[in-house]
Formats: sequence, structure tokens, C-alpha cells
Amino acid sequence: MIQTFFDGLMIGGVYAVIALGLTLIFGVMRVINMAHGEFVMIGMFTSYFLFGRLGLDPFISILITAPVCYLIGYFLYRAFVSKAQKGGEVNTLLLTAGASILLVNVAALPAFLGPNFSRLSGEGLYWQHRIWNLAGVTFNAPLLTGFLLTGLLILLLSLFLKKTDTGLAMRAAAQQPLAAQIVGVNVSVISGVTFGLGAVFAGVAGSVLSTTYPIYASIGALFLVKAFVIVVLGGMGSIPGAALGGLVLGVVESFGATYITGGTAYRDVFGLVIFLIVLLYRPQGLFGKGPNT
Amino acid sequence: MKPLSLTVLVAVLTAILVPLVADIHIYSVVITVLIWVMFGQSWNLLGGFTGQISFGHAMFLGIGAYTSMLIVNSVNLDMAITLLLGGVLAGLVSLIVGFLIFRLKGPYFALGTLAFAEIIHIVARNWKGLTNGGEGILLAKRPTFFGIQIFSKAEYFYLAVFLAALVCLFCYYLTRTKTGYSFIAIREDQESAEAMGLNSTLIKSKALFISAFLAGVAGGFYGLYNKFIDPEMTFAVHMSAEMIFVTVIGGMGTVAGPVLGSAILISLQEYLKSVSFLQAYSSLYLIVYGLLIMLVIVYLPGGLIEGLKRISAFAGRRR
Repeated sequence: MIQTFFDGLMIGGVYAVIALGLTLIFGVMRVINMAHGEFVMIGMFTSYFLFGRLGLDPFISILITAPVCYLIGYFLYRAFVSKAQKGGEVNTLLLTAGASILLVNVAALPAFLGPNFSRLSGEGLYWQHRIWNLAGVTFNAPLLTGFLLTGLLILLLSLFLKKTDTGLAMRAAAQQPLAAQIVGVNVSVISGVTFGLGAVFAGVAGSVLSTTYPIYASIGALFLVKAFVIVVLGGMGSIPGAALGGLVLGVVESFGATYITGGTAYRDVFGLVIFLIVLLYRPQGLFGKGPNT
Repeated sequence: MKPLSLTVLVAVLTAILVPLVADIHIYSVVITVLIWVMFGQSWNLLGGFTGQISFGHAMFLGIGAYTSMLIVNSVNLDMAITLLLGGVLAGLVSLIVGFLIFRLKGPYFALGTLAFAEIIHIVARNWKGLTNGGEGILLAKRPTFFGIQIFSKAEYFYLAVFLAALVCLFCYYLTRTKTGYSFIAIREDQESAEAMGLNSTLIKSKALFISAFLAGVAGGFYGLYNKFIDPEMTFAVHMSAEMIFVTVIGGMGTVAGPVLGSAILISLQEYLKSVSFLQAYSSLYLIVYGLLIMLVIVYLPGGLIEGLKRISAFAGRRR
């Protein structure tokens, strides 16, 4: 029971980080980023290849994953998304769906993994099958480390949004883009920074997940769906909602997989049904305050 | 030239010219193009004309495909009835879907349809008694259309030309009726349309029903033509996405758009698949797809049709 709970909590922490990136992008520029899962995949691939070629530990390669994702995200925004924004939310949805297909299939080129599955493994990998035992509960070591890292990231993000000028500009752009523009915020640049930052969150989660999940080009879709469920659960654009929603989804999945017989085949249906119900009857999310987002 | 005579002319020319040069490969490319013309028209009616972007049209395609396949395999009714039944069933499901999610607007509607389609996809994969799960269903009998046996590529080709022309004409004339104009009114400004006394939910449900019906009919044809279906090639998200792509790249909100879009994209796809030098790069055509859709949305929001119009306007000015 307690074991199941903590298992769920650990993976939930990673889900939360992915959803945080998605909700950040949505909150600031009202863009639903269909390519968000692909940044998780980019994070996984970067860590995978850095370990394979250079023997770099996935938790150290985060230092490389993060800027890589930032640059791709920033470029994607400035070169494409910002230009499609005039056409409304549906246009950016279609655009990022196109970007998602592009990124998945670039990753599926023979130069990377092709259509194959792989796993991060090898002699020098400290995290392989490593388990920590704390007070009678066993923890998957990379996920626990990832969980702590997640907490740190969420803390840093909220400090960043509250204390720095860039963070202030982001919040201003989220609330009133036009007014922010008038008082001298370069909304276009801020949006690019936000998009990059959102991608970084997904990428970091990807690096953490590369230690435990299979690695293949189209894995992003799996996490995109989960991130949508979480973001809708927590309220579109709400950062505490995304953090809490991630933990909730992780725990619910863990209990569902352990205690419902035959639940594994239909496991993903539960999440989607929750998603639809929340979307229909409580579109501001379970923890949201506003009448509508 | 009038659209009616233009469509008939194009259809007749296709029906006469293609068999002159056709081998089995060319037949299958042309049939695939025509199938996607129908899917594109179906999606376009809801997405392009009514402005409701669906990411879940694969569910209607899949329902049509499974209905037709199961009917032909069990009682082998005439294809004219089979396809209609598949379309009607897809339409009925769409009424339930629409009732639940038409309160969502814009991107939320898109996400809702995506979730719905995924639920049906997972159910189809696991409901072995009905769909035979991931193993799929093989066509076991020879279907007929108005008594004519339809089995070889050539037979399917003539039927595809007929059906695609019918669907295009139907969409063209539908969008020039009062119902069609009410679709466009909803797309342009839902609140103003409501203020004018239009019942937006009813109109959107109509658009969804017709769109789902067409997707179901086309899906039935797609399944019978392939002689095999499984959940991945009917209900999966990539089918919904491809319907969107052929329409968006061709031109949303125009009847010619899906025709142009599927003609170009599907031939490109088949061509890239057949070039032996590129076969190791099986994902290449999807990279081109992704890039093309990004460029079209940013630089040509009206699709290739708009591009053609701009070119002809430019040429007209020069003259």
C-alpha cells in the first residue's frame, strides 16, 4: 500500500515537470503545444547518446539537455509559432502538431535510432537497477533523484517567476499581453523565452526518464497525453495545479495498475475519461479558481 | 466552367485515362488518393466550413470500416447498403459525441475529440469479441456494388472515382444551401450567428453528423479496399492527423482543397516510399509532411489553393 503510493509519487513527480512546461507555455501565450512530448523525447535521446558516446551520466547530461531543448524551443517559437499566432489558437495547435510529426520523424532517421527501441544501459551506468531502501519502502534510485530534482525545479521556477524581472515580465505577458507591451515588455521575446523554458522542463524530465523507460522516437505522444490530463486536471495555466495534478495522476495510475484486475489494458482509458469529465464539467480544473480559463 | 460539369469531366477523364497507363501500382496510388479525397472532404465540412477542428475523426472512419467489414463478412449485403449503414452508424455515434463536447470551443474541442477517439481506439484494441483486437479482420467474401462484383484493383478504381466525385459534388452543393451558409456563419463568428437566431449547437451537430457520415462511408470503402483492417490503421491518431493535413495543405474551407491536398500529398508519399535510394529513410516523407504543414500554416494559411489563386492573380496583373 505505502509502497504503491510512493511508486506513484515518484513517477508523478516527473509527470509534474512535463506538465509544468506545457502549462507555462499555455499560461503565457495561450498556445497548446502538441509538440511538447517531443521535447521529452529530445531529452531522452540527448541523454541516451551522450551516455553511449561519452559515458556521461544522464543526470549530468541534463546540463546539456536543458540548453539544447531551450534553443530548439526558442527557435520553434520565433520562426514558426509566433507567426501563426495571429491566426488564433487553432492555428498554433495545427502548427505544433506539424512540428511534432517533424521532430518524431527526424528522431526516427537511421542517423539516430531509426524505428527501433532501445534502453539506456551499460557497464558504467550508476543507476542501472539501483534501488534504495528507506524506512521499509524501496525506491527506484533514478526516479527518487529525479523526484528531488523536480521539487528543486518547481521551487526555482516559482522563485524565478516571483523575484526576477524576466519572471515578472512573463507573468505580465500572461495576464495582459497588450498592457505588458505598452509598459515596455517585449512580449515576443518573453514568449520565446517561455517556450524555451517550457521545452527545458520537458527535456529535463526526458533525461530523468531515460534511466527507466524504453527509448524510441515516438515515445513523446505517451507523455503528451499524460501532460494534457494533468494540465486539465490542475487547471490550464496553473503552476501549482500542474505540480499537484502530476502527483495525483502518478498515484492514481500506480494504484490502478496494482489493484484493478485487468486494469492494465484499460489503464489509459481511466486517465482519458477523467480528462473528458474535467474538461466538460470543470474546465477551470480541480484546483483552479477562475470561472473559466 | 460549372462545378458539376467540371467534376464530371475530371472524373470521366480520370476513369478513361488512368486505365490506359495503369499497372497495379498506379491503380493503388490513385485509389488511395481518391480515398483521402473523401476523408479530406469529410473533415473539411466540420473543420474547414464550420470551424470546429476535430483531432478525432479517425473514430468515425474506424466505425465505418468495422461496420462495413463485419456486415460483408457475415451477411454480405450489397456495398451500397453496407457503406450507407457504416456511415449512419458513425453519424449516430457522432450525435453522442457532439452532445457531450460541443460545449467546448476551439482548441478545447480539438482536445476533447482527441480524447474521445483515443478511448474508442483503446476499446477497439481490447474488445476482442467484436473487433478481433490487434490481429484485425480479413475480408472473407467478395463484395458487390449494385450487383456488380467489386474485387480487383480496376473495379475498386472505378467505384472510388464514382464515390469521390459524388462526395465532392455533395459537399459543393451542400455548402451552397442555407445549411451550408449557417455552417460558415458559425465558423466566422459563433456569437453573432447566435444573435441572428441560429441555434449553434444544432448546426454544429448537423455538420458533425454529415461529416461523420461521410467519414464512415469512406472508412467502409477504405476497409473493404484494403481487404484487412486493424485498430492501428483505422482508429489511430495518425489517421485523424492525416485527414487534417490533406485538407489544411490543400486549403481549408474550399471543396477543391482536399482534392488538391490529397493528390499532392499522397502521390508524394507513394513516390518517396518507392524510391529505393530513400527506402532506408522510411520516416523521410513524414518529415516533409511536418515541414510542409508548418510552412503552409505560417505562410499560406489558405493552403495551396490560395497559393494558386495568388499566382493566377499575379499573372493576370502582369498581362
